[in-house]
Amino acid sequence: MHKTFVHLIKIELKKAIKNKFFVTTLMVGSIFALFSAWYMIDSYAAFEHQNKVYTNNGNPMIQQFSLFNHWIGGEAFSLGYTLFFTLIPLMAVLPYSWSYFIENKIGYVKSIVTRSSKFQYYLSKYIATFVSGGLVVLIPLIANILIVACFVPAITPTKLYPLYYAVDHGSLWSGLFYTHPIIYVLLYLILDFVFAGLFATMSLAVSFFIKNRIAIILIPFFFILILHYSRTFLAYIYYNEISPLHYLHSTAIENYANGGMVLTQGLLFFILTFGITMKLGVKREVF
Amino acid sequence: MTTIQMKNVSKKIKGTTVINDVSITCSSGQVTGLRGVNGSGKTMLMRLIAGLILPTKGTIEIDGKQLGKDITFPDSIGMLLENPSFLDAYSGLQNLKMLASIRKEVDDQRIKEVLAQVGLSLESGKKKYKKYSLGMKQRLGIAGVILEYPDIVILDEPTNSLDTSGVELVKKIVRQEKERGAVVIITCHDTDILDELADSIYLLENGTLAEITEEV
Repeated sequence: MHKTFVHLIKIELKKAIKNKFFVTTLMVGSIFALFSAWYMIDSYAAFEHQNKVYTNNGNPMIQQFSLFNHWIGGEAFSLGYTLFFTLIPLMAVLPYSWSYFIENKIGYVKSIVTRSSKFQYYLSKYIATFVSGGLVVLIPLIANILIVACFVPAITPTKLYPLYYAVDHGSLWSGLFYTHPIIYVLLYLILDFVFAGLFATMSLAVSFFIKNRIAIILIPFFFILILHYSRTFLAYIYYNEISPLHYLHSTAIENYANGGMVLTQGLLFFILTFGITMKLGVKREVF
Repeated sequence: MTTIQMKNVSKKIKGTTVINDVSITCSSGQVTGLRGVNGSGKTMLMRLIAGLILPTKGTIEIDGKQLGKDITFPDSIGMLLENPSFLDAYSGLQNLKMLASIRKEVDDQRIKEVLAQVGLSLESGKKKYKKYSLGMKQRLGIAGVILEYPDIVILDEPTNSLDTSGVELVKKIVRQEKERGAVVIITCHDTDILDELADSIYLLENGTLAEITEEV
C-alpha cells in the first residue's frame, strides 16, 4: 500500500508539472517577474548614475537602494509587481487544479482508485495540486531575485530608513529584515509557495461542488479578490493586513502583515481545502 | 480461484431503486453475461461489483471478503465501464504505462504485448489519445482491462465502436481471460455474442433479476 502511494505521488507530480498549462503559466509569471526586474534594475542604474555624477560616490543614503527592496517581493512600483501579485490566485490554479474535475468527468478516477485506494488518490491529487500551484509562483520569484541580485547589491537594510523599506516594527519578521534579510526573503518565498499551493487546492475543493471548469478556475480568484477588497470595510478599525494579495508581498503595501492573521488564514484555507478533498473524496461513490 | 457472491443486493440512488434484491454468484473460469435494455441496471451492477458504489442493502463478497467492510475494492480487477477513459494529453502507450506504474506489477514488455493483443501497433500506441478513433479508444480500453492479468474482468459493452475484426478480437480475448481463470462479467447488446461467450446469462429488468435466468 505504501509503495502504491509513492508511485501514485510520482505519477501525479509528473502530470502536474509536465503539462502545457504549467509551462504556459510559468512563462507568463516569469514575464511579469522579468518586467519587474527590468524596471527596478533600470531605476537602480539611474540612482547609480546620479550617485557618481553628483555626489562622487558619497551618497549617505546608499542603503536605501538594496536588493531587498528592489526584488519583486520588496518593491511596489512596477507593472510587473502589480500583475504578478494580483494574479497569484489565478496563476496558482491554472497548472493543475482542474485535473480532478476532468478525471472525474471522463471516468479516469475509476481506473486509479481501483488500482490504489480513494484515500491515496485524493491525497496524492491534493499534494500534486499544492506543489504545482506553489512552484508556478515560486520559480518566477526566485528567477527575479537572482536577476536583480546580479545588478543591485544585497546591502543589509538599515533601521534609519524604514519609510523606504515599508517594514516597520510589528510587521511580520521585521527583526529579521534588518538583521538577516536573506533569511527574511527565504521565509517570504516559503510563505508565497505555501499560499499559492493553498490557492490551487481551493479549486480542487471547489470541483467537488461545481461542474464547470471555468468556474472552478475562477472561484478562488474571486474569493481572494472579495477578501482583498473587504479590507476597505476595516479601514481605521483594524490596522493589520487581511488581504493575501498584500501580505504575500514582503514589504507592506497598505497595512503591516500580522503573523497571527497570516497563520489563521493559512490554517483556515488548509483545513477547508484538505478537509473537503479528503472527506468528500473518500466518502463519495465513484460513477 | 476467485468467487464473487452478491447476496440480496439493492441500491438506491436519490430515492430511486436502481438495483433490487439481486443475488448472483460468479466464479473463476466462467463468463457471466448480463442482458437487459438501456437503464436496466447492468452497468450499476458492474459498479457494485467493482466497489465503486456500495449496496444500500445486501452484501457483495469477493473470496469471502465483504466489499465496503473488509475491503474497499477487489484486490485485482480490470474494467471497462461505459466508455474507455484515458487522458487526452498522453499517448495510448503513455496512458497504459501510467496505469501500470501504480502497482508496478507488469513491465514495458507486457504493455507492448497487450497493445498487440488488442490490435494496436506500437506506432499507433505512440499517438496522442485524443487523436484516436472511437474503435482505437475501445481497443485501448480493453488493453487497460487485461493489462495486469486481473482476477476479475468487467467488460461493459466491449464491442462498442468496433468493426468485425475488432468484435472477433474481443471474443478471442474473453476466451483467453476465461482460460486464464479470470472471473469475466460482460454486457453486450448483441445477444448472439453474449450467447456465444457466456456460460450463464442473467436478464435484468428495472434493476431486478428477471425470472428468466439462462444457463447456456
